[in-house]
Amino acid sequence: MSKHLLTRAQLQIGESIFAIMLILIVGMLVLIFFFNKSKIDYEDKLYEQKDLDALEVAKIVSSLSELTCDSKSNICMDYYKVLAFEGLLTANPSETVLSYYYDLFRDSSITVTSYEFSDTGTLTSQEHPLYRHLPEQQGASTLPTRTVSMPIYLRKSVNGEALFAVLTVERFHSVEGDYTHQEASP
Amino acid sequence: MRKAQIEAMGLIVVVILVTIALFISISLKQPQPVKKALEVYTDETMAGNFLVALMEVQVEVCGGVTGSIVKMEDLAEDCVRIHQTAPPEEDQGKYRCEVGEEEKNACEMFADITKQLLVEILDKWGVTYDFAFHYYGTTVDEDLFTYPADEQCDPTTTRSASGLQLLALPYDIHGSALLRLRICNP
Repeated sequence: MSKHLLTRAQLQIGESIFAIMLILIVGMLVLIFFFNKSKIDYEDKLYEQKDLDALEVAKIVSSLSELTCDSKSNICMDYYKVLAFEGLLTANPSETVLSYYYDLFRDSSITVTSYEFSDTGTLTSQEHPLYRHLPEQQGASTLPTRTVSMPIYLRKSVNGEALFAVLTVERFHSVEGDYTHQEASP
Repeated sequence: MRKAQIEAMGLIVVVILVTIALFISISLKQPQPVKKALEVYTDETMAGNFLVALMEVQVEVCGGVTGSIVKMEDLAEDCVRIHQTAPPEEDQGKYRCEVGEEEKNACEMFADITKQLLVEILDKWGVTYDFAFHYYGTTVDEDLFTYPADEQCDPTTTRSASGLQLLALPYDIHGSALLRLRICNP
């Protein structure tokens, strides 16, 4: 009789252990699922943040009084102001000017590409690099983490002529271990 | 023994029910939007900017000494003028050029320039798009220019963002003309 009771008790313990193990396994599966989901959510938010950073720089550039035609339109830039800005920051950069614009643009590369039709009707393009600051000084990668391109137009204030142009902003991020290059898409 | 087996079965049923309930609650969560708001904003800004810049651009329409500098908006307006009465052959508009043995009217010049810009810029970015210049006249309702010839964006199957630009027509042209650039991502 006592032998029979012992076997029954053992069986009940076995049942309980089995049930606890099952609950633990299911719990772990649920935890793994939620961990993966929150990781994906975090990556999405990080990607969106990079987008926002690049867009923010593009908005700042297109509203700079040093570059725009007038205060009404943020897609019109003055052709001669662009040329002057190009000379100021790339051809003969001064540390004072660079540090002033670094506060606005941080680690990014800003280029305006103008498109002009020649006499024969063919389209030619010309690049005007406005700003470039890479995070390599801090030992980081130089790959752009996000690129935003916006069509604009350049107005020549002398004769009022307007050219089609594209403003390209490449934003570099120095987050450790996060240098995946996103394809250039506007 | 039988009682223990029934208890074990009961526990298994409870665990299975809990698991099913968990997965149902997870799957009933609100699904993420197909296209993120930021992507839509970027694409719409790009499409809108493209059209505004395109209308502002000035081009030399006939080349050489006889050529004149014309705003794309004026070419588009002249193109609508040609098409407001049917058949269009009766009025060839203000801007006509002889390029070699070929004679081009405003519609053909507008189409040539727009196509070159679309190919040079959006095709290089690897963007899927469709461009349409449509005239809603009193007697005519037609596409004056579309590129590519077949619509690339089907809003029911692809995520798309549109830029629209209504052409300001003078009082002697009846109806309205609309430019639409639709950017879509698979």
